[in-house]
Amino acid sequence: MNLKELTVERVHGLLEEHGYICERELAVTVYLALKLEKPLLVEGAPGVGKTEVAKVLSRAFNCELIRLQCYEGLDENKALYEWNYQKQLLKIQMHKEGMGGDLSESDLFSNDYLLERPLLRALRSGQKTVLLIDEVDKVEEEFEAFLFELLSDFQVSIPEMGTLSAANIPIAVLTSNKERELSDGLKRRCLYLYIDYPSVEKEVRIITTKVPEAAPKLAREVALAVSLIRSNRSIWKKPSISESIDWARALVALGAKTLDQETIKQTLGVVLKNKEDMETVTREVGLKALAAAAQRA
Amino acid sequence: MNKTGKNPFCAAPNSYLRETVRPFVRFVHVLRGLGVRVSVAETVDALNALAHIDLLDRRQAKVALASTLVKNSHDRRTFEAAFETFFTPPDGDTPPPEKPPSSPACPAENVDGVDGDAGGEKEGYGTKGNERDWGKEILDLLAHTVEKNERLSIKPGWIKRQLAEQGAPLSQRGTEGPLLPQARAASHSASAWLKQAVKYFGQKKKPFLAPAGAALGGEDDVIGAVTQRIWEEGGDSEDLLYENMKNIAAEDLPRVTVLLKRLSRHLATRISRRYTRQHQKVRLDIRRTIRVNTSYGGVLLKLKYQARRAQKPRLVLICDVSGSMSYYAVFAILFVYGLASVVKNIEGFIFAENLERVTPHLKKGNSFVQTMSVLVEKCSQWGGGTNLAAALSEFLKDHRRLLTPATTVILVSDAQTILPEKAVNYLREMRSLAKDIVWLNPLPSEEWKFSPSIFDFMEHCRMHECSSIDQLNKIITGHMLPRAR
Repeated sequence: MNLKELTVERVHGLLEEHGYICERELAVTVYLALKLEKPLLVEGAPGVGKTEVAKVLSRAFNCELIRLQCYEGLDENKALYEWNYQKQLLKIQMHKEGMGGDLSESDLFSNDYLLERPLLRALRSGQKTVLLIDEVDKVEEEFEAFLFELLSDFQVSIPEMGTLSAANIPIAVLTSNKERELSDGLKRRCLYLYIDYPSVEKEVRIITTKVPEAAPKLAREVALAVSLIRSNRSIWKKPSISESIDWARALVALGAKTLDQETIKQTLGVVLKNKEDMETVTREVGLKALAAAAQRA
Repeated sequence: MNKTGKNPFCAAPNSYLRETVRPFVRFVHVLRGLGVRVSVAETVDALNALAHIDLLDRRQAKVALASTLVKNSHDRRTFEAAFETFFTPPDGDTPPPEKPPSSPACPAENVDGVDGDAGGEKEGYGTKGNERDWGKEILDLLAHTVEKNERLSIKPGWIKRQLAEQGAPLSQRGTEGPLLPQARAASHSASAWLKQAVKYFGQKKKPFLAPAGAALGGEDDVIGAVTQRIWEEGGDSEDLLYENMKNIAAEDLPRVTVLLKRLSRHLATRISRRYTRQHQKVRLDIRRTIRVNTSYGGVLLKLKYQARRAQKPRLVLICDVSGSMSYYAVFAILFVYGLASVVKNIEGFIFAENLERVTPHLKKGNSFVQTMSVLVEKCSQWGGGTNLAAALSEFLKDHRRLLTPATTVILVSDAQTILPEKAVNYLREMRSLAKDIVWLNPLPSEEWKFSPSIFDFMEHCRMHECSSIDQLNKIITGHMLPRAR
């Protein structure tokens, strides 16, 4: 990948070529993140395609995708590195029994005994990689602060080995579902991208790209129906893009040609994932009205 | 990037650089004045980003500035309005675009490169109308003459004329005004301040008070114009977050319920995290490690780690539904309802002159309207006088077992009660039994000084002003349940 030859149009083209339908505004931000070699923080509701940005970049630039899935309790031992204690103990035992050669402390804390975790692997990779730090809002503030050095200088400090800098600066993508507000320090180090629910037109394109078996008319009906559901403010969990795609797939699997009231009733569970929302849609929107609105496409 | 691939900001003389970046810095000042937090590092990032995009393309530039300067979706609307106001001549009497002169201070290759772009018909964002004007403006910006910089950004005269029709210039206003108490009362945050200011501006049709420290030369004019613009564009879906709960209309209740439920889930997670979190890191469990490795002759081949024990949160909510709290009673019950829908171990009480347990009425699956109608029908406390002492005394007498070292008590009341001295004593006793007492007070903190007993209560609890969902959110995420150490 030659960053010097990148243009906004090229990035936009690459994203769409690899199945990521997006506006050019998104491409501009991704382009800037690549050009400035800064991490990209992607926020948005679940299922709008945040993680997909990293996956597509990995495919588009033919880079290895290294993923760090964040969760509560994640620490540097699981994210960065850990010493292979068992191997170290065996070495000490062998040395005690005269089976090993000379042994110094630095031998025990060398690369041979280092277990690389995703962050270190991304830094030490000989190739450019895409580092996906997924759902960073799930980790504690301490771990967030730990990421500062990595994200600003692409280096980490290991007490026994000193500071390790990235051989190739990875394309770093952080995603957040906004379950909690991230610290200003983390945000400051990143470029920010907010992905909202798509317009109907964009969603039709996404559905037809991801589910080519779905007829354009059906894709449009699904997009319109989902858009109508999302517009209801009483909905607890708005349907995501991935749920629209699942809905289209389900309809194709059922052989449905159009989104009528009966089909909606049978498949509403694909797009709404809790009882309250299903009741809300049935009560406030009405399946008949939903079908009629969708079929106006 | 411009077609030459050159960075127009690099290799420039210091004086040129200063003049070039000045408008951007002013724009950053405007954003800060509007409550958007922008650091110096982000300003530098923005300039670097501009160097990599096509400066003739207004939308690209806007995205570049947005992605580097604005790191919060709530601030995006403010940014949009600020950008449109700052970088577009507001009265539409833009002078015809002129060919940018090559500045002697500007490196010739940069100007040539950008100029070359300006002449051609480009595909993309910047091909028509205002987009082309934007390109010209940016070219002018790079030429950095003072008068052009002024034309580029905002026309102080125009803004001042507009504002003069509605009142005195912003810069001449004092630090106190009709809006300030309202804004302070309504929110802790600058963004909420902005929302309140917009609302005030819209209702009264008068200029609002600039926030302290925001009056930086002409920037207060821009801030005023941006605020007006936001008001003119109408409210957004997040307005309810900043709305004082006593003003919430009945038709907005379903939306408020959804918002509060989301917030309650967040709160439940936070509480859960606080209680379960025993250690900052996974620690080696020495006892289990030694035990499991006895079969290897004591050589520690298998390591065992301490596991976290999941504990369920325990919450007690006591809500004041007396006459003085009538405006907020629905909010208080919504809060209880929202929490009860996501937290299992929750006990709810309401009080006015006496205490009543409402936990049995908070059945899962019931809508808020159903819950509320049951509460109104079954409970006799609504709209009575406030006797917190009697309520707490009754609580300690009948429900003392609920107060354990793992219990967090959340008290929702305006603290306007008879017998406050007695109530303070009971509160002290409760504090000694419970893990924490958090008091959510819908009264503006400026008014607390008129009730001296509030300060006595504050010795035994953490009291927060809370009259909007946004404030509740901030209390929950920032103060109410700080992470355990």
